[in-house]
This record gives sequence, C-alpha cells and structure tokens, in this order.
Amino acid sequence: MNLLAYTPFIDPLPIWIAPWFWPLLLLPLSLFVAMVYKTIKCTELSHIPRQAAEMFVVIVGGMALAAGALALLAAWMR
Amino acid sequence: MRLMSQRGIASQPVAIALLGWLVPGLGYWLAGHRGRGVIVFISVVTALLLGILIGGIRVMDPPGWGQFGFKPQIVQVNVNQATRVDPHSTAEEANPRRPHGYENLGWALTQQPLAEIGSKPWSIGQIFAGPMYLAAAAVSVQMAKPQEDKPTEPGVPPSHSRSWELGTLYTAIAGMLNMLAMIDSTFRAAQSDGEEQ
Repeated sequence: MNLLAYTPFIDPLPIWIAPWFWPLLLLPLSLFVAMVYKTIKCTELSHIPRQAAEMFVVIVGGMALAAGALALLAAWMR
Repeated sequence: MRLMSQRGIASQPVAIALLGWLVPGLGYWLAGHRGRGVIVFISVVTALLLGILIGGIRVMDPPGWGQFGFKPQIVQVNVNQATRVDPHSTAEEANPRRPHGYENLGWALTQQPLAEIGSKPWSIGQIFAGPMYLAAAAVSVQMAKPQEDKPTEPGVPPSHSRSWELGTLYTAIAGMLNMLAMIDSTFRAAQSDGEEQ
C-alpha cells in the first residue's frame, strides 16, 4: 500500500512498518476490558481505577507469560 | 419531571437494555449510575473506533453481504446441491442465474441464516456495539462495491493478517463489553427499583 494514499478509518493502519508495533496494540484493548469489567464488578465507583489498573497488569502479565511459554514450546519443537 | 420520567424508564429493564444498546452506557446513566455509564461509553466507543482505525472500515463485515458489497445469493445447481454466489454487480445480484445458468433461490441470509452468520461469527459480538456498528457496516458495504474502472475488484479491499485480526478483535470485544454492560445495567436498574419499593 502506498502510505501517501493512506486514509484513516478506510485503509488499515500500516502496523507492518515495525514488527514490534502490533503487540503494543493489545495494551489499549486490555485496558478497555479491565475498565469495563471492573465497572461491572466494583460496588463502589471510587474502587474502579485501582482495581482496573491491577487487572490490566494481570492481563498483560498473563499474556506475556503465555507468549513466553509458547515461544519456548515452539523453540523446543524445532 | 425529568427525574420522574428517568425513574420511569429505569423501572423497565427491557428499556434499559435497549437504550444501553442504542448508546453504550446510557442504560447505566438512566439507572442512576452515571459514572459507570461514562466509563462504558468511553471504553466501548474508543475500542470500536480503534478497531476500525487499525483494520480499516472493511473489518465491519456484516453477514448477508459479500466481499463486493452485494447480497450473496443461493442458486440451485442440481436437485441435491445449492451454492452461494457472491455478486459483483447490482445486475448479478438481481439475477445470479445468468452467469451460472441455475435457479436463484434467494438471498443467502434468508435462505441459510445460520450458515451465513456462522461464516462471520465476529459479527455477533460487533452487533452489540449498537447503531454505531450498523452505520459502520453500511459504510463498509458501500465502500466494498467495485469502482467502474475495476469491476472485478472490491472498491476498498478488506485488510488481512494482523490488521484484520486486531481490528476484528477490537470491534467484537467492544460489542461484547457493551453486552455485559447492558446486562449489568438492567440488573442494577431492576435491583434499585426493588429496593425503593
């Protein structure tokens, strides 16, 4: 795709420019999941930011651990 | 007066669920949980917009419309076999028999609804994002239609690999999160109504 012809929201974001970029896009999604989940679960509104932040860390940490374990498994299978 | 009418809506769980679908977070807002409503609105709308930004408008891929933006048709090949035709033009959509020579049974979404929806399961999550999904899907279908100079190619091709995966993931999760919020706001509205009585 010609980047000069890139139209936001019509064409896909050129995430292939840097190979390290696309995993970072999982961070906002994890944050939204944590925020809405804790909005539903928390009885007090004031508890949401802290609990959502904790859940965000757990999600991202869990995904990083899973990715590491799968990378080790793939390396072992080669 | 305004508060009374809001209280009236809040006592109707079905209305709360429906309004929560129309505008993410509105169910919470009308049930008196305004902070929760704002958080849900910001999260769902941002996730949906980010999904479209990452994957392009064609990540909104509604069942019942093909990759060229026309309604796929089911045509009878023989007594025991029917096949799905993805039209490239309005003429082919209206009469898919001509290029194939078979009997047209009708729109794939009405003829084989489960197969059509099952081929795009992410749309089940996306539709819970509300009218924003419907509007974006309508734009996507329009943009998919081939241009006059390239009649065999979609006007805007769908993205692929990680762009498409991430875009679809964002938009489907946006809808699923709104569905959770709709259920919870309905429950909270019913609960607070019960407490008041």
